[in-house]
Amino acid sequence: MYGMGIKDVVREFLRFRGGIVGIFLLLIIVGMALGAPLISDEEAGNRWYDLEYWVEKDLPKGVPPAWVGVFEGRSYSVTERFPGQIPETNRFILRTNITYNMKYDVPPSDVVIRVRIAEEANISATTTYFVRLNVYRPDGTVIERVLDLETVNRDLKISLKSEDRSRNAIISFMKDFDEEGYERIINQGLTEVIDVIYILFSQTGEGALLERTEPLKGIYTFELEIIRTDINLELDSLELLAMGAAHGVFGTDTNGRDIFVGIVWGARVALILGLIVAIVSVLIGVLYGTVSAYLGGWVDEILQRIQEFAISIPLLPLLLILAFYFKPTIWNLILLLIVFSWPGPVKTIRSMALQIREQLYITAAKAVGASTGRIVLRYIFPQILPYTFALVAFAVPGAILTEAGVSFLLGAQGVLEITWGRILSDAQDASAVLTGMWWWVLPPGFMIAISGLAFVLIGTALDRVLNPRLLR
Amino acid sequence: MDYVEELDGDTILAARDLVKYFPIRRSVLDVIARRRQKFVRAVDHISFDIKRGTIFSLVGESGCGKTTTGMTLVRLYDPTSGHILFKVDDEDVRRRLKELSNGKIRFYGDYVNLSEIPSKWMKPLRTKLQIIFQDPYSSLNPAYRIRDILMEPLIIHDIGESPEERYDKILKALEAVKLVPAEDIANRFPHMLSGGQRQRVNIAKALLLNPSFVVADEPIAMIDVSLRAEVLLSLMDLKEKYGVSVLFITHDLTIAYNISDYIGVMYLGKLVELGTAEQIIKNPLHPYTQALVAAIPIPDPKRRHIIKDIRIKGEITSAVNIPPGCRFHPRCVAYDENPQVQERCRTEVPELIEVEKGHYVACHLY
Amino acid sequence: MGNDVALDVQELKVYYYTYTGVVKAVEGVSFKLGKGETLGLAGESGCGKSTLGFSLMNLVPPPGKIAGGHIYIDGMDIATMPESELRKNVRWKKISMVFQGAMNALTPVYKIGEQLAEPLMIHKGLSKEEAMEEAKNILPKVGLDPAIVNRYPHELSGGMKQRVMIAMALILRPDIVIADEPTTALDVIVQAQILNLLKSLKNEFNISLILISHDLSIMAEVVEKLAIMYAGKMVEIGSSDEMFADPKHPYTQGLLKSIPKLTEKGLHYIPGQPPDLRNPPSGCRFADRCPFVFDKCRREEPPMLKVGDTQYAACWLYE
Repeated sequence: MYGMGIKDVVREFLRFRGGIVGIFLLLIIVGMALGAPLISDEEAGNRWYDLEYWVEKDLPKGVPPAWVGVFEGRSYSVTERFPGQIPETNRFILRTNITYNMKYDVPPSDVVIRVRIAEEANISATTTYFVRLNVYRPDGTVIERVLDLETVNRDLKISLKSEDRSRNAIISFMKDFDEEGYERIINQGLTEVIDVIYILFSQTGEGALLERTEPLKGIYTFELEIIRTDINLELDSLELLAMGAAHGVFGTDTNGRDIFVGIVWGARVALILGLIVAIVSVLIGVLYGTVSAYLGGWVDEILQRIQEFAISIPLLPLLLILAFYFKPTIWNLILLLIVFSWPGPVKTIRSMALQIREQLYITAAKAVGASTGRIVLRYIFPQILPYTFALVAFAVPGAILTEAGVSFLLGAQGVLEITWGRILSDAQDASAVLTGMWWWVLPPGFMIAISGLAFVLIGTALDRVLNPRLLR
Repeated sequence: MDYVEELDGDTILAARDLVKYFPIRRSVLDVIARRRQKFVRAVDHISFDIKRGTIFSLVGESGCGKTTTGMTLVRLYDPTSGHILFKVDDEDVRRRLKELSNGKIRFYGDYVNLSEIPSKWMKPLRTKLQIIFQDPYSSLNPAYRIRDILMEPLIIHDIGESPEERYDKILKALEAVKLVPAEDIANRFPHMLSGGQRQRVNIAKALLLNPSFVVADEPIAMIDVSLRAEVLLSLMDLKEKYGVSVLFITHDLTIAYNISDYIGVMYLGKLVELGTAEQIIKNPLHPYTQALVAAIPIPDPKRRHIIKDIRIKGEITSAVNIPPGCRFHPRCVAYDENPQVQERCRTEVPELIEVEKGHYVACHLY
Repeated sequence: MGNDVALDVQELKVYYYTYTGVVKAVEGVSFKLGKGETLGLAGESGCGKSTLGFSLMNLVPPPGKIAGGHIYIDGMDIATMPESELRKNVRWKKISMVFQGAMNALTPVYKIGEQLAEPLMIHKGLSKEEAMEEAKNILPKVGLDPAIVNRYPHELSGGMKQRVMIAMALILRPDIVIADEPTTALDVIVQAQILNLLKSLKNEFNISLILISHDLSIMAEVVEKLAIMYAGKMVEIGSSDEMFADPKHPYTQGLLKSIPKLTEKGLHYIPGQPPDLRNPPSGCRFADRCPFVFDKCRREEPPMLKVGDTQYAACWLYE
């Protein structure tokens, strides 16, 4: 078995299908981690918690992945922007019509109106203006006063879904066509919960308010009126955004963050954390076990007692407690994980080292005059090194899972970096499971699982190739 | 330390009253009951001299203490008591010893007493004292190539000015034990060599340090018969070409006869007979030696029908509960036949007495 | 099969199917063992003698298998017999084995008496008491105190354990006993005692004995017929007297010269190494190390040629 160079190890390793699968999975994750800056811009990863950044991105909120439509056989609306024509007029009322062709099986998740006032406008900061919106539907019906508000906001962004007035306007409109439905939602207090945008784009009829009618496809005309109180108030831009019903590879969360971006950037953290913790803690543990075994006697006894103490400390509760006092950064977490992981491999390594210590070539080395340090480093360590690789492979999933658990439990109290655990934590906070947002929960969970799987497969294959039982 | 005066300049190593006991692990109960600590008396007061450039064979059956003796002489074990006088001719080694110990090591003329030297000061002496082990399969580090294994002693003792010089020495050592082509062998891993070849690597390794004394512990026991001579010849070259003194440990009397100058017979930790190879084999005096010689199988099929008469009773006794007096007496047939000495055999430990020139026996019959 | 032949081996092949290649451990070996005869199977490590010994009971450990040939005992072919038959009728009843390294062949958790009794209870249907009696009877025959039946293996010395193994091999009174390196792990005095024992036992029990060893000196002490194996093949066979007096095969000659003697000092060896049995050379397998090698040796494998009264050697020198 010895004299096994790298080439032999690789050749043996490739005989195990599990190992090949593991490498394959690992490459996917590494690909994600490396490709993160290419897939989505640098900013996105670092700014996960900067909600303003995401607001700017104008992604639909809480929508499933774009490919869902393929499986369901329906077309999902995509996010579309429609600039409005700013009328050249001296009137106080500025009116423009924005048309939107709703041609999808699944209508938009939201409609956002954007009004920007020109900065140079010679007006005081308190000058208000009015915004009114009427919606002309393809079936000839009209919803009036969908928007009817007064504001001073120079950069106005209104989501119809979130505006109470809009919601009420839509509900009132549909009430005429669905009395029963209306009764129902009033009685059950569902007015806050129903998808008014869906209703906006759906056919009239029984059950419309319960979202039971089909979408109404066709041209919608959004009649937007800006009524200024000061003639100097000038518009910079007008825009209507139809927010798609689906987006991206893994959809979005309720804050409008692209979950795929989160997953991809989370891969970096997972790999870096996993590998650093695994490599450092295993190296410490291996050195500790080897030296303890070689020195023997009461030094060995003491070192073992220390290790047994260290390994008995429960990691998770301690981490959670510490987190309340010190805001953890990812590096603190890595350090703590190392401190708690090193005792793991010690016992196995120690028994291996004990066996090696009894070998005749060790005695021969002593007879030649080799020092203790030389024997440990050049004679014992190289025999253990191959097994160390397998240990590292097994340690990585442990580290990743622990971090995921900690981040999940700590949530906002935890590390600031984007990790798969944090994504899950956010999902939990937003009751993602209850609201059926599977795309928020499954991807991070799946990634944690397959990263663990990848390393375990690699570790098992490595173990079979380098099994210490074959030692000597 | 009057022993030293007796030594003539030709003696390279002298053991005097060498003792090595191994304590037997006691249970907690034993300690509480204050039972006396028992020992395995592996080596129990032996004395002998090894002269420069000779091969001295230590023979005996398993458990007689010969391996322990060898390990103690090269200080892989610490002697329980007794003296090991070793001649240090090499100026360089003397100087290093003095430096290392801050002058605390006592020199008795040209000799040092290895029993007095703690492990931490042994390093300079390790170049002069070497050991070759029995098992060629586990005595070489399997993870390194032969050349790296052979480099170790040179690097540890800082021999050679450059890697090239060291490599040169290695090749020469391999050639000296006829492992050729040396470059090819140096590049191999141990598992690519046969048992005999590995043993010769061990001999080459011992040679590299230019020792004056080498212990060879049953070096050919695990090698095929038709290949043993190859290793033995390399070992004898050590003596003939390099003037090294060899302590050859074996249970095989025939081999001992064929290669050694002197033979010492051990039984249960004591030397029972000592003399030249001719004397011991052709004229064994001690009853145990006689039984050993009688037991040697002779490759003559005509003797097939003879049931050999080996004059020995019973089994070898444990080295913990040693019989009083002569430790061989419970198995000694001569004891049965000579009632007049029985009292002495039972109570008095026999000392080595010179019966003919250079031939010593420890037996009350003489 | 004649009435005076206890064992007839014909063209036996035993191969080990490892995943680095097929090791041809025994390649076409043939010999006969007469009733009451003692045959020595000599050779060095890797020559196939132990494998041959195991194959005679069809006990070759996997990945080894009998790959061809016949082993006739009492008219039955052991090589092709199904396992159940072997266990019931052949193993230990007709042919038994004394293993190398007796220390390991005895179960450490059962008393000696129980282990001796086991074959009697299984094969002869004796009750435990009857079997223990038998055990007590056979122990003195191997020079042991019958009280040993109550001891555990670890309480006995190496020599004593080997004697127990011999007793175990004889307990069912088999026709053939194989002794595989019975004295290798033992000291020289104990070895001599065991050899004495084997000599007396073979007469008393009238067994045909196969002694396997690398030590030709002990062969000389015990065997009537001697076979030399090299690299999986039998290279010479003949009466012990003829072989020692006038060895014909160059390997036998080299082997005998390598034995150190007390009568004259001298060290000889055979240079080179045995071939790799996964890829044996064509022609004579000893060619690389043979001092008398010539052309034909490397091209064709020599068959067994008659070179004396009872002596056969596989060597082109005698064509």
